[in-house]
Amino acid sequence: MSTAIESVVDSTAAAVRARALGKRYRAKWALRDCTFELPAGRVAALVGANGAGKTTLMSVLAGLLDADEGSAGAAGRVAFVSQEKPVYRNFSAADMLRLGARLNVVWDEARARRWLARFEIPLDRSCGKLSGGQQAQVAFALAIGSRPDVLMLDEPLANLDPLARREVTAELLGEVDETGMTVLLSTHVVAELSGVADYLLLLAHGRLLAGGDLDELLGRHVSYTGPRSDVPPALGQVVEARHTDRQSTFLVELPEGQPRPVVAGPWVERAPTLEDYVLAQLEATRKGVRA
Amino acid sequence: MTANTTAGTTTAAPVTKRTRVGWGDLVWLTWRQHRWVIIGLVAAVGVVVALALTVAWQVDATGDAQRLFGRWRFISVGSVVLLAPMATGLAIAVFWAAPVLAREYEQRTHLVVWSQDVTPTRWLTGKVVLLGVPAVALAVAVGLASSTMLDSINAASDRPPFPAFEMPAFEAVPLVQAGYAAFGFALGLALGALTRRTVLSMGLALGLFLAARVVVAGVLRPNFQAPLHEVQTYGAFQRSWDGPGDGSWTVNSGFVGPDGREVPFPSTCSTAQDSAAYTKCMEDSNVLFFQDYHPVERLVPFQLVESAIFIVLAAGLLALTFVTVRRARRA
Repeated sequence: MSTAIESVVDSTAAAVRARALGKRYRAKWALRDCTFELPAGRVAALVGANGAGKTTLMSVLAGLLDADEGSAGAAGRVAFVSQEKPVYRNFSAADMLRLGARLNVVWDEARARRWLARFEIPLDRSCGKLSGGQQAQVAFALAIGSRPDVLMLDEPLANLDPLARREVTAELLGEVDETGMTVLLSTHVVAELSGVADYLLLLAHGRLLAGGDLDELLGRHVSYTGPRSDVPPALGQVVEARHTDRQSTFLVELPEGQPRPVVAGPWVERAPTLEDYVLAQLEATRKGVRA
Repeated sequence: MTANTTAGTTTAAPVTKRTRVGWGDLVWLTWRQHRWVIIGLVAAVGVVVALALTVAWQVDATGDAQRLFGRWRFISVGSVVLLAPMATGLAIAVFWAAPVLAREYEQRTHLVVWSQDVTPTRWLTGKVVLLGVPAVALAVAVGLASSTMLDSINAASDRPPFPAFEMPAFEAVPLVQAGYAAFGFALGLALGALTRRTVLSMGLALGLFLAARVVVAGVLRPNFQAPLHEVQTYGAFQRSWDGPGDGSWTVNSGFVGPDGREVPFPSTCSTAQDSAAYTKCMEDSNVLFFQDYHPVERLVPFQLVESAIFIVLAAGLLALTFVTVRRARRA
C-alpha cells in the first residue's frame, strides 16, 4: 500500500492516473500505451476479456509490479485484493484483522468487523477451513479496514454466489458513500456492473479501448434496430453491426458536438446498456485483430 | 501500535492512526506465522543442550567417561549428541528458512502482506532479522553445549576419543556452528525466493547444504593452508602412534624412499611375523614413512576460515534473495 507516488490531493483531482503506461513479460507486451485519469470518489470498472491485461494493470497501479514504460500513480494509500483473494490459511479471520491492524498505519477495526459480521464470517475459525467465498470476505474486510484512499479489487465477485455478489456490491457502494474512497474493480462479468460503476476503463489486448464517465460514454452511443440495411439510419461511427435476414442492428457512436439525430420510419432507437456497449466494443476489437 | 481490539460491532471504536509500522508488528507477524517451527526447533535444541550438559557434568563429577549408570559409555552417548551439530544448519535450511518465502508465493499471500503499509524490502528485512538471528543463536547454543561436552569427555580420557581437529569435534564449536546456521538460513530463503515452491525449495536446500558441507570439509579444508610434511622411520612413527597424540590432523600419509619420492609399499615386508621384524624389514628396504599434517595450532584459524567461507556464502545468498524479491516487481 506504500505506493503513494503522488501526494494526497483534493477530491476533484485524479485518484489514479496512468501515462503511456506499458508493461511487458519478456518480449510480449501485456499492457501498452495506457493513459487515463480516474477522478477521486468514483467507482470504476476495469473491463476486458480474459488476458486483456486487467490484472497486470492493477498490479502496476497497486505498486506490486514496476512498469516498463510510462508512469502510474495513485493518490494516497492503496489497498489491493488480488484475484485469488489470498489469506493465511492457518490464521483465523480475527488474526487476519490483527494483521491488518499491525501492518497498516491507518486501521478501522470497527469497519472491518462490521463487514465480517454482515457476511456472517466466524472470527475464530482458521481461514483454511472457510469456503472460497468466505475467504474472499475476509480479504475484503482486511482491505476495507485499512481505510484506503483507493481500493483496487481484481475480479471481486468471481467466487461469490449470486446473492453474495449483489450484497457485496451494495456494501461496497455504502463504504464508498461513507468514506469517499475511490474504487477500481476489474471484471469480465459486465452484467453485474450496471448500477455499481460510474466510470469505465475498457481494456483489450493490453490497450485501453475506451475510458470515461459511464453516462457520458453511453450517452454518445445509440442502438438502432430496423429492416435489413448496410448502413445505419444516422451519421456516426458504427461500433457494431449485426444482421439477420430481415433485420439489422447498429451500435453507433454519434459525432461529438452535434445534436442527437432524429430517426423515423421503420427504425427503432434505443439507449444501449453497459453490456451492449462493452460487448460491442470487445467484439469489434476481436474482429479487428482477426482481420 | 496496539491494535484496537474493541469487541463487537460498536461503531464508536476510533480509527487507529500512526506514522509507521514498527518492529513490534513484524515480531507479532513472524511469531504468528512461524511459531510452530520456532517452538519445534527451540525444543529440539533444548533437549540437545540439556543432554550435552548432563553428560559433561557427569563426566566432570566422576572423572570417568567410560560408564554411565553402569551400562552405557559416555562416549556413545556423546556420539549421539554430536549428531546435533551436524544437523542444526541443515534443519535451519530445510525447515526454518526454505518455506518462509516459498509458502508466501505458493499461497499468493505475498500479495496480501505487501499490499499493506509495509514494503517487500522492509518485510523481508524483518524476516531475516527476526528468524535469522535466532537461528544463528540456536546453533551457537548447540555449539557451546557440544564443545563443553567434548572437552569434558576428552579431558577424562587418556587418548581423546573426539580429536579436536577431526569431524565431528571440528564442527561442534560455536564459531563454525554460527557459520553453518547463517549459510543454511540464507540458502533456504534464497531457494524459496527463486523456486517459489515449498517442497522443491526444501529438497534443494537439503541437497545443496549437504553438497556445500562435503565440498568445504572434504576438498577445501585440508588445503586451507599447505600441510606440513614430516618424514620419519617406521619405528619412530610407531612410537608416536602409541602416545596420546599431539592433536594434529594428518591429511595424507604413505611411504617414501631416502630421496623423498613416494614409493609403493614394499611387498616383501607383508610376510613379517611381528612388529619388530616388520620395522626392521622396512628399514632394510630403505622405506620411510611420511605424514602431511596440520599442527594443532592451526585448529582455531581453520575453524575461522571454515566459518568465514559459509558466512560469505550466506551474505551472497541474502543479497541474491533481496535482489530476487525486488526483481519480482519486474516480471
